[in-house]
Amino acid sequence: MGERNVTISGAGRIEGGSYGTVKIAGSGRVVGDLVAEEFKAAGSAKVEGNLKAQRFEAAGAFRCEGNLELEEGEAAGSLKVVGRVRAKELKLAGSAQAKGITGGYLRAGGSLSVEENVEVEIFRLMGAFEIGGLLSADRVEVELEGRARAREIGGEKIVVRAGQRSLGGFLSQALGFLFGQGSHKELVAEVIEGDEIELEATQARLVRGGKIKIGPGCRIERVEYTETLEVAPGAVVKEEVKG
Amino acid sequence: MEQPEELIPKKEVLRLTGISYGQLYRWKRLGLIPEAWFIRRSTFTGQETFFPREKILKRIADILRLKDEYPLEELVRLLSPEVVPTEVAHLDPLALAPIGPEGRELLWKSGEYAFSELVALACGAEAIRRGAKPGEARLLVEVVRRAEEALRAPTDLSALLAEKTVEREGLLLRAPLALVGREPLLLDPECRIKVRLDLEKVVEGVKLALGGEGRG
Repeated sequence: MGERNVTISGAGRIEGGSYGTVKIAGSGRVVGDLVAEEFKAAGSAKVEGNLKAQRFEAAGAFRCEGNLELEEGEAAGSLKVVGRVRAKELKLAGSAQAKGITGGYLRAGGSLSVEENVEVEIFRLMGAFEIGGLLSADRVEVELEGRARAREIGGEKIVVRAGQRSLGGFLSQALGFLFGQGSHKELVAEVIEGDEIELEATQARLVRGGKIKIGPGCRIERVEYTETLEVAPGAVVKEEVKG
Repeated sequence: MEQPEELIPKKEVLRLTGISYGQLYRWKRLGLIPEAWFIRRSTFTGQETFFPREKILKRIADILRLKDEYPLEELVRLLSPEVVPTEVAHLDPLALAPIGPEGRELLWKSGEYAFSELVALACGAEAIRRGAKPGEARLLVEVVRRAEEALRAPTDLSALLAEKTVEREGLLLRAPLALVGREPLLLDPECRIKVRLDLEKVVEGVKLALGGEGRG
Protein backbone atom coordinates (compact mmCIF):
# COMPACT_ATOMS: atom_id res chain seq x y z
CA MET A 1 0.00 0.00 0.00
CA GLY A 2 1.37 3.40 -0.97
CA GLU A 3 1.96 5.66 1.98
CA ARG A 4 0.12 8.91 1.52
CA ASN A 5 1.15 11.87 3.60
CA VAL A 6 -1.11 14.79 4.12
CA THR A 7 -0.76 18.18 5.74
CA ILE A 8 -3.38 20.74 6.59
CA SER A 9 -2.11 24.24 7.28
CA GLY A 10 -4.66 26.83 8.06
CA ALA A 11 -8.09 25.29 7.81
CA GLY A 12 -9.11 22.17 5.95
CA ARG A 13 -10.54 18.71 5.95
CA ILE A 14 -9.37 15.32 4.83
CA GLU A 15 -11.13 12.07 4.14
CA GLY A 16 -10.47 9.08 6.37
CA GLY A 17 -8.38 6.20 5.10
CA SER A 18 -4.88 4.95 5.49
CA TYR A 19 -1.97 7.40 5.64
CA GLY A 20 1.68 7.62 6.47
CA THR A 21 1.84 10.95 8.25
CA VAL A 22 -1.05 13.27 8.92
CA LYS A 23 -0.19 16.78 10.08
CA ILE A 24 -2.66 19.41 11.06
CA ALA A 25 -1.53 22.92 11.89
CA GLY A 26 -4.36 25.31 12.44
CA SER A 27 -7.78 23.81 12.26
CA GLY A 28 -8.49 20.44 10.68
CA ARG A 29 -11.24 17.92 10.37
CA VAL A 30 -10.95 14.25 9.43
CA VAL A 31 -14.11 12.73 8.02
CA GLY A 32 -14.34 8.99 8.61
CA ASP A 33 -11.99 6.44 10.18
CA LEU A 34 -8.31 7.20 9.98
CA VAL A 35 -5.31 4.89 10.18
CA ALA A 36 -1.94 6.59 10.27
CA GLU A 37 1.66 5.83 11.09
CA GLU A 38 1.90 9.24 12.61
CA PHE A 39 -0.72 11.79 13.53
CA LYS A 40 0.34 15.27 14.60
CA ALA A 41 -2.00 18.10 15.34
CA ALA A 42 -1.39 21.58 16.64
CA GLY A 43 -4.31 23.91 17.04
CA SER A 44 -7.69 22.36 16.76
CA ALA A 45 -8.32 18.93 15.28
CA LYS A 46 -11.36 16.74 15.07
CA VAL A 47 -11.62 13.16 13.88
CA GLU A 48 -15.16 12.14 12.98
CA GLY A 49 -14.59 8.43 13.34
CA ASN A 50 -12.00 6.09 14.83
CA LEU A 51 -8.33 6.92 14.85
CA LYS A 52 -5.58 4.35 14.90
CA ALA A 53 -2.00 5.58 14.95
CA GLN A 54 1.47 4.37 15.82
CA ARG A 55 2.53 7.79 16.97
CA PHE A 56 0.15 10.48 18.09
CA GLU A 57 0.81 14.05 19.13
CA ALA A 58 -1.81 16.67 19.80
CA ALA A 59 -1.34 20.16 21.12
CA GLY A 60 -4.32 22.39 21.57
CA ALA A 61 -7.81 20.99 21.25
CA PHE A 62 -8.29 17.50 19.94
CA ARG A 63 -11.54 15.62 19.63
CA CYS A 64 -12.22 12.10 18.40
CA GLU A 65 -15.80 10.95 17.86
CA GLY A 66 -14.89 7.26 17.91
CA ASN A 67 -12.19 5.16 19.53
CA LEU A 68 -8.53 6.07 19.74
CA GLU A 69 -5.99 3.29 19.40
CA LEU A 70 -2.32 4.20 19.80
CA GLU A 71 1.08 2.73 20.30
CA GLU A 72 2.50 5.94 21.67
CA GLY A 73 0.61 9.11 22.29
CA GLU A 74 1.12 12.56 23.76
CA ALA A 75 -1.50 15.22 24.20
CA ALA A 76 -1.23 18.69 25.66
CA GLY A 77 -4.24 20.90 26.04
CA SER A 78 -7.64 19.36 25.75
CA LEU A 79 -8.26 15.80 24.57
CA LYS A 80 -11.79 14.53 24.16
CA VAL A 81 -12.50 11.01 23.04
CA VAL A 82 -16.13 9.98 22.78
CA GLY A 83 -15.19 6.29 22.62
CA ARG A 84 -12.48 4.32 24.32
CA VAL A 85 -8.74 4.88 24.33
CA ARG A 86 -6.32 2.02 24.01
CA ALA A 87 -2.65 2.91 24.18
CA LYS A 88 0.64 1.21 24.96
CA GLU A 89 2.03 4.49 26.19
CA LEU A 90 0.09 7.66 26.75
CA LYS A 91 1.19 10.98 28.20
CA LEU A 92 -1.39 13.62 28.89
CA ALA A 93 -1.07 17.20 30.03
CA GLY A 94 -4.08 19.40 30.52
CA SER A 95 -7.54 18.01 30.50
CA ALA A 96 -8.53 14.67 29.03
CA GLN A 97 -11.87 12.96 28.65
CA ALA A 98 -12.78 9.47 27.43
CA LYS A 99 -15.30 6.73 27.92
CA GLY A 100 -12.64 4.23 28.99
CA ILE A 101 -8.88 3.80 28.91
CA THR A 102 -6.88 0.59 28.64
CA GLY A 103 -3.24 0.06 27.96
CA GLY A 104 0.26 -0.03 29.32
CA TYR A 105 1.68 3.17 30.67
CA LEU A 106 -0.46 6.20 31.41
CA ARG A 107 0.98 9.43 32.73
CA ALA A 108 -1.24 12.41 33.21
CA GLY A 109 -0.76 15.89 34.56
CA GLY A 110 -3.93 17.87 34.92
CA SER A 111 -7.41 16.53 35.00
CA LEU A 112 -8.70 13.23 33.72
CA SER A 113 -12.33 12.34 33.35
CA VAL A 114 -13.35 8.81 32.41
CA GLU A 115 -16.89 7.50 32.36
CA GLU A 116 -16.08 3.82 32.85
CA ASN A 117 -12.82 2.02 33.74
CA VAL A 118 -9.15 2.87 33.50
CA GLU A 119 -7.16 -0.35 33.30
CA VAL A 120 -3.45 0.01 32.59
CA GLU A 121 -0.17 -1.41 33.81
CA ILE A 122 1.19 1.82 35.26
CA PHE A 123 -0.92 4.84 36.17
CA ARG A 124 0.83 8.05 37.21
CA LEU A 125 -1.20 11.15 37.69
CA MET A 126 -0.59 14.55 39.12
CA GLY A 127 -3.76 16.54 39.38
CA ALA A 128 -7.37 15.52 39.64
CA PHE A 129 -9.56 12.81 38.19
CA GLU A 130 -13.07 11.51 37.98
CA ILE A 131 -13.36 7.82 37.11
CA GLY A 132 -16.85 6.34 37.04
CA GLY A 133 -15.77 2.73 37.42
CA LEU A 134 -12.59 0.92 38.32
CA LEU A 135 -9.08 2.32 38.28
CA SER A 136 -6.74 -0.64 38.08
CA ALA A 137 -3.00 -0.85 37.51
CA ASP A 138 0.01 -2.75 38.80
CA ARG A 139 1.17 0.59 40.12
CA VAL A 140 -1.14 3.48 40.84
CA GLU A 141 0.70 6.67 41.77
CA VAL A 142 -1.36 9.75 42.40
CA GLU A 143 -0.31 13.18 43.51
CA LEU A 144 -3.46 15.06 44.35
CA GLU A 145 -3.77 18.64 43.19
CA GLY A 146 -7.52 18.76 43.36
CA ARG A 147 -10.52 16.51 43.77
CA ALA A 148 -10.27 12.93 42.66
CA ARG A 149 -12.94 10.30 42.58
CA ALA A 150 -13.14 6.65 41.52
CA ARG A 151 -15.63 3.97 42.38
CA GLU A 152 -12.91 1.40 42.99
CA ILE A 153 -9.13 1.33 42.86
CA GLY A 154 -7.24 -1.94 42.67
CA GLY A 155 -3.76 -3.16 41.92
CA GLU A 156 -0.45 -4.27 43.30
CA LYS A 157 0.87 -1.02 44.70
CA ILE A 158 -1.22 2.07 45.27
CA VAL A 159 0.27 5.34 46.47
CA VAL A 160 -1.78 8.49 46.91
CA ARG A 161 -0.18 11.71 48.15
CA ALA A 162 -1.53 15.15 48.74
CA GLY A 163 0.44 17.34 46.35
CA GLN A 164 2.70 20.05 47.68
CA ARG A 165 2.18 22.44 44.74
CA SER A 166 5.56 23.99 45.23
CA LEU A 167 5.97 24.16 41.51
CA GLY A 168 6.64 27.51 40.02
CA GLY A 169 5.68 29.06 36.78
CA PHE A 170 3.45 27.83 34.08
CA LEU A 171 2.51 24.42 35.44
CA SER A 172 1.42 25.87 38.73
CA GLN A 173 -0.65 28.49 36.95
CA ALA A 174 -2.18 25.89 34.67
CA LEU A 175 -3.11 23.66 37.59
CA GLY A 176 -4.56 26.63 39.41
CA PHE A 177 -6.63 27.41 36.38
CA LEU A 178 -7.83 23.84 36.03
CA PHE A 179 -8.72 23.17 39.64
CA GLY A 180 -9.37 26.60 40.99
CA GLN A 181 -6.95 28.24 43.39
CA GLY A 182 -6.83 26.56 46.75
CA SER A 183 -9.19 23.82 45.63
CA HIS A 184 -9.55 20.88 47.92
CA LYS A 185 -7.05 18.06 47.56
CA GLU A 186 -8.95 14.91 48.26
CA LEU A 187 -9.53 11.45 46.88
CA VAL A 188 -12.87 9.76 47.39
CA ALA A 189 -13.33 6.08 46.56
CA GLU A 190 -15.63 3.33 47.73
CA VAL A 191 -13.07 0.56 47.82
CA ILE A 192 -9.27 0.55 47.52
CA GLU A 193 -7.53 -2.81 47.28
CA GLY A 194 -3.88 -3.60 46.83
CA ASP A 195 -0.96 -5.61 48.12
CA GLU A 196 0.73 -2.39 49.22
CA ILE A 197 -1.25 0.76 49.88
CA GLU A 198 -0.13 4.20 51.05
CA LEU A 199 -2.76 6.88 51.30
CA GLU A 200 -3.04 10.55 52.15
CA ALA A 201 -6.08 12.84 52.02
CA THR A 202 -8.34 9.95 51.11
CA GLN A 203 -11.89 9.10 52.03
CA ALA A 204 -12.96 5.51 51.52
CA ARG A 205 -15.47 3.05 52.82
CA LEU A 206 -13.10 0.09 52.62
CA VAL A 207 -9.33 -0.21 52.24
CA ARG A 208 -8.11 -3.73 51.96
CA GLY A 209 -4.75 -5.32 51.37
CA GLY A 210 -1.44 -6.59 52.68
CA LYS A 211 0.71 -3.68 53.89
CA ILE A 212 -1.26 -0.55 54.51
CA LYS A 213 -0.27 2.99 55.54
CA ILE A 214 -3.04 5.42 56.28
CA GLY A 215 -1.58 8.91 56.23
CA PRO A 216 -2.67 12.39 57.25
CA GLY A 217 -6.03 13.65 56.11
CA CYS A 218 -7.53 10.19 55.64
CA ARG A 219 -10.93 9.12 56.80
CA ILE A 220 -11.53 5.40 56.28
CA GLU A 221 -14.57 3.47 57.46
CA ARG A 222 -12.93 0.08 57.54
CA VAL A 223 -9.42 -1.26 56.96
CA GLU A 224 -8.81 -4.96 56.40
CA TYR A 225 -5.16 -5.97 56.26
CA THR A 226 -3.20 -9.19 56.24
CA GLU A 227 0.33 -7.97 57.09
CA THR A 228 0.84 -4.51 58.56
CA LEU A 229 -1.15 -1.38 59.25
CA GLU A 230 0.17 2.06 60.16
CA VAL A 231 -2.18 4.90 60.92
CA ALA A 232 -0.75 8.42 61.07
CA PRO A 233 -1.81 10.78 63.83
CA GLY A 234 -4.77 12.77 62.64
CA ALA A 235 -6.02 10.06 60.33
CA VAL A 236 -9.33 8.44 61.14
CA VAL A 237 -9.90 4.72 60.80
CA LYS A 238 -13.22 3.64 62.25
CA GLU A 239 -12.66 -0.08 62.15
CA GLU A 240 -9.53 -2.23 61.75
CA VAL A 241 -9.63 -5.92 60.98
CA LYS A 242 -6.59 -8.14 60.67
CA GLY A 243 -6.72 -11.33 58.64
CA MET B 1 -34.38 -27.46 39.41
CA GLU B 2 -30.70 -26.68 39.38
CA GLN B 3 -29.26 -24.82 42.30
CA PRO B 4 -28.43 -21.21 41.56
CA GLU B 5 -24.70 -20.75 41.28
CA GLU B 6 -22.92 -20.49 44.60
CA LEU B 7 -21.08 -17.18 45.05
CA ILE B 8 -17.85 -16.49 46.86
CA PRO B 9 -16.62 -13.08 48.09
CA LYS B 10 -13.41 -11.69 46.62
CA LYS B 11 -11.54 -11.78 49.90
CA GLU B 12 -12.31 -15.45 50.30
CA VAL B 13 -11.00 -16.15 46.78
CA LEU B 14 -7.68 -14.57 47.72
CA ARG B 15 -7.50 -16.44 50.99
CA LEU B 16 -8.27 -19.82 49.43
CA THR B 17 -5.97 -19.49 46.42
CA GLY B 18 -3.15 -17.47 47.95
CA ILE B 19 -3.02 -15.06 45.01
CA SER B 20 -2.40 -11.35 45.52
CA TYR B 21 -4.61 -8.37 44.69
CA GLY B 22 -2.03 -7.43 42.06
CA GLN B 23 -2.47 -10.79 40.34
CA LEU B 24 -6.25 -10.69 40.49
CA TYR B 25 -6.47 -7.23 38.95
CA ARG B 26 -3.76 -8.02 36.36
CA TRP B 27 -5.56 -11.16 35.25
CA LYS B 28 -8.82 -9.26 35.00
CA ARG B 29 -7.14 -6.61 32.84
CA LEU B 30 -5.77 -9.28 30.54
CA GLY B 31 -9.18 -10.87 30.18
CA LEU B 32 -8.11 -14.07 31.95
CA ILE B 33 -10.96 -13.50 34.37
CA PRO B 34 -14.04 -12.34 32.49
CA GLU B 35 -15.75 -9.11 33.43
CA ALA B 36 -19.03 -11.04 33.70
CA TRP B 37 -17.71 -12.98 36.68
CA PHE B 38 -17.30 -9.85 38.81
CA ILE B 39 -20.68 -9.65 40.48
CA ARG B 40 -21.35 -6.63 42.65
CA ARG B 41 -23.79 -7.16 45.48
CA SER B 42 -24.87 -5.09 48.42
CA THR B 43 -23.92 -6.42 51.83
CA PHE B 44 -24.29 -4.94 55.30
CA THR B 45 -20.92 -3.22 54.91
CA GLY B 46 -21.76 -1.80 51.49
CA GLN B 47 -21.02 -3.06 48.00
CA GLU B 48 -18.88 -6.17 47.72
CA THR B 49 -17.62 -8.15 44.74
CA PHE B 50 -18.52 -11.80 44.45
CA PHE B 51 -17.58 -14.50 41.95
CA PRO B 52 -19.22 -17.71 40.78
CA ARG B 53 -17.42 -20.01 43.18
CA GLU B 54 -16.74 -23.06 41.06
CA LYS B 55 -15.73 -21.10 37.96
CA ILE B 56 -13.33 -18.68 39.63
CA LEU B 57 -11.56 -21.33 41.69
CA LYS B 58 -11.10 -23.56 38.65
CA ARG B 59 -9.90 -20.66 36.52
CA ILE B 60 -7.33 -19.54 39.09
CA ALA B 61 -6.11 -23.12 39.54
CA ASP B 62 -5.72 -23.36 35.73
CA ILE B 63 -3.82 -20.08 35.54
CA LEU B 64 -1.50 -21.04 38.40
CA ARG B 65 -0.87 -24.45 36.85
CA LEU B 66 -0.17 -23.10 33.35
CA LYS B 67 1.43 -19.73 33.96
CA ASP B 68 5.01 -20.98 34.11
CA GLU B 69 4.54 -22.92 30.91
CA TYR B 70 2.87 -20.29 28.73
CA PRO B 71 3.28 -16.53 28.48
CA LEU B 72 0.27 -14.71 29.95
CA GLU B 73 -0.93 -13.48 26.52
CA GLU B 74 -1.00 -17.08 25.31
CA LEU B 75 -2.98 -18.08 28.40
CA VAL B 76 -5.59 -15.47 27.54
CA ARG B 77 -6.17 -17.24 24.24
CA LEU B 78 -6.32 -20.63 25.91
CA LEU B 79 -8.53 -19.80 28.83
CA SER B 80 -10.55 -16.69 28.33
CA PRO B 81 -14.02 -17.59 27.09
CA GLU B 82 -14.43 -14.12 25.66
CA VAL B 83 -11.56 -14.56 23.24
CA VAL B 84 -12.69 -17.01 20.60
CA PRO B 85 -10.13 -18.29 18.13
CA THR B 86 -11.48 -17.46 14.68
CA GLU B 87 -8.77 -18.98 12.53
CA VAL B 88 -9.26 -22.58 13.64
CA ALA B 89 -9.72 -25.09 10.83
CA HIS B 90 -9.51 -28.53 12.32
CA LEU B 91 -9.33 -31.65 10.18
CA ASP B 92 -9.72 -34.34 12.81
CA PRO B 93 -12.24 -33.31 15.50
CA LEU B 94 -12.37 -36.82 16.98
CA ALA B 95 -8.78 -36.38 18.15
CA LEU B 96 -9.90 -33.67 20.58
CA ALA B 97 -10.74 -35.04 24.02
CA PRO B 98 -14.02 -33.11 24.50
CA ILE B 99 -15.33 -34.68 21.26
CA GLY B 100 -13.67 -38.09 21.10
CA PRO B 101 -15.06 -41.24 19.46
CA GLU B 102 -18.62 -40.34 20.50
CA GLY B 103 -18.46 -37.55 17.94
CA ARG B 104 -18.04 -39.93 14.99
CA GLU B 105 -21.74 -40.15 14.21
CA LEU B 106 -22.14 -36.39 14.43
CA LEU B 107 -19.60 -35.35 11.79
CA TRP B 108 -21.22 -33.80 8.76
CA LYS B 109 -18.22 -33.15 6.56
CA SER B 110 -14.72 -34.41 6.05
CA GLY B 111 -13.24 -30.94 5.66
CA GLU B 112 -12.14 -28.30 8.10
CA TYR B 113 -14.12 -27.58 11.23
CA ALA B 114 -14.26 -24.03 12.56
CA PHE B 115 -14.13 -23.29 16.29
CA SER B 116 -17.89 -22.96 16.80
CA GLU B 117 -18.39 -26.20 14.89
CA LEU B 118 -15.97 -27.97 17.20
CA VAL B 119 -17.87 -26.60 20.19
CA ALA B 120 -21.10 -27.90 18.63
CA LEU B 121 -19.56 -31.34 18.17
CA ALA B 122 -18.29 -31.34 21.74
CA CYS B 123 -21.84 -30.60 22.96
CA GLY B 124 -23.27 -33.43 20.87
CA ALA B 125 -20.59 -35.89 21.98
CA GLU B 126 -21.10 -34.96 25.62
CA ALA B 127 -24.87 -35.46 25.23
CA ILE B 128 -24.22 -38.96 23.84
CA ARG B 129 -21.94 -39.71 26.78
CA ARG B 130 -24.82 -38.69 29.03
CA GLY B 131 -27.20 -41.08 27.34
CA ALA B 132 -28.72 -39.11 24.49
CA LYS B 133 -29.48 -40.86 21.19
CA PRO B 134 -27.41 -39.80 18.15
CA GLY B 135 -30.50 -38.29 16.51
CA GLU B 136 -31.07 -36.07 19.54
CA ALA B 137 -27.40 -35.16 19.80
CA ARG B 138 -27.48 -34.09 16.15
CA LEU B 139 -30.27 -31.63 16.97
CA LEU B 140 -28.06 -30.15 19.66
CA VAL B 141 -25.11 -29.88 17.26
CA GLU B 142 -27.33 -28.09 14.74
CA VAL B 143 -28.48 -25.46 17.18
CA VAL B 144 -25.07 -24.81 18.79
CA ARG B 145 -23.47 -24.40 15.33
CA ARG B 146 -25.89 -21.57 14.67
CA ALA B 147 -25.05 -19.83 17.95
CA GLU B 148 -21.61 -18.72 16.74
CA GLU B 149 -22.10 -15.10 17.80
CA ALA B 150 -23.41 -16.00 21.26
CA LEU B 151 -20.40 -18.27 21.84
CA ARG B 152 -18.17 -15.21 21.99
CA ALA B 153 -19.63 -14.38 25.40
CA PRO B 154 -20.52 -17.81 26.75
CA THR B 155 -20.97 -16.89 30.42
CA ASP B 156 -24.43 -18.11 31.52
CA LEU B 157 -25.06 -19.61 28.10
CA SER B 158 -26.59 -23.09 28.19
CA ALA B 159 -27.34 -25.73 25.60
CA LEU B 160 -30.32 -27.91 26.46
CA LEU B 161 -31.59 -31.14 25.12
CA ALA B 162 -35.13 -31.78 26.23
CA GLU B 163 -38.07 -33.92 25.42
CA LYS B 164 -41.62 -32.72 25.12
CA THR B 165 -44.41 -35.13 25.92
CA VAL B 166 -47.93 -34.41 24.75
CA GLU B 167 -50.91 -36.58 25.54
CA ARG B 168 -53.93 -36.28 23.26
CA GLU B 169 -56.86 -38.69 23.36
CA GLY B 170 -54.86 -41.54 24.75
CA LEU B 171 -51.99 -41.00 22.34
CA LEU B 172 -48.64 -40.20 23.83
CA LEU B 173 -46.33 -38.14 21.65
CA ARG B 174 -42.70 -37.56 22.52
CA ALA B 175 -40.56 -35.16 20.57
CA PRO B 176 -36.96 -34.13 21.28
CA LEU B 177 -36.00 -30.48 21.23
CA ALA B 178 -32.71 -28.64 21.52
CA LEU B 179 -32.06 -25.01 22.37
CA VAL B 180 -29.33 -22.54 23.23
CA GLY B 181 -29.98 -19.58 25.48
CA ARG B 182 -28.91 -17.59 28.49
CA GLU B 183 -29.81 -18.76 31.95
CA PRO B 184 -32.27 -18.67 33.61
CA LEU B 185 -34.04 -20.66 30.88
CA LEU B 186 -37.62 -21.66 31.49
CA LEU B 187 -39.41 -24.45 29.67
CA ASP B 188 -43.06 -25.35 29.92
CA PRO B 189 -43.97 -28.23 32.27
CA GLU B 190 -44.53 -30.65 29.42
CA CYS B 191 -40.80 -30.56 28.75
CA ARG B 192 -38.25 -32.70 30.52
CA ILE B 193 -34.63 -31.61 30.34
CA LYS B 194 -32.38 -34.53 29.50
CA VAL B 195 -29.05 -32.78 29.12
CA ARG B 196 -28.05 -29.32 30.25
CA LEU B 197 -24.59 -28.11 29.21
CA ASP B 198 -22.78 -25.02 30.46
CA LEU B 199 -21.40 -23.64 27.20
CA GLU B 200 -18.73 -21.66 29.00
CA LYS B 201 -17.24 -24.94 30.20
CA VAL B 202 -17.54 -26.58 26.81
CA VAL B 203 -15.84 -23.62 25.11
CA GLU B 204 -13.07 -23.74 27.67
CA GLY B 205 -12.63 -27.49 27.22
CA VAL B 206 -12.32 -27.19 23.45
CA LYS B 207 -9.84 -24.33 23.79
CA LEU B 208 -7.66 -26.23 26.18
CA ALA B 209 -7.72 -29.29 23.91
CA LEU B 210 -6.74 -27.15 20.91
CA GLY B 211 -4.00 -25.44 22.91
CA GLY B 212 -2.59 -28.75 24.08
CA GLU B 213 -2.48 -29.95 20.48
CA GLY B 214 -0.73 -26.85 19.24
CA ARG B 215 2.17 -27.72 21.51
CA GLY B 216 2.36 -31.18 19.93
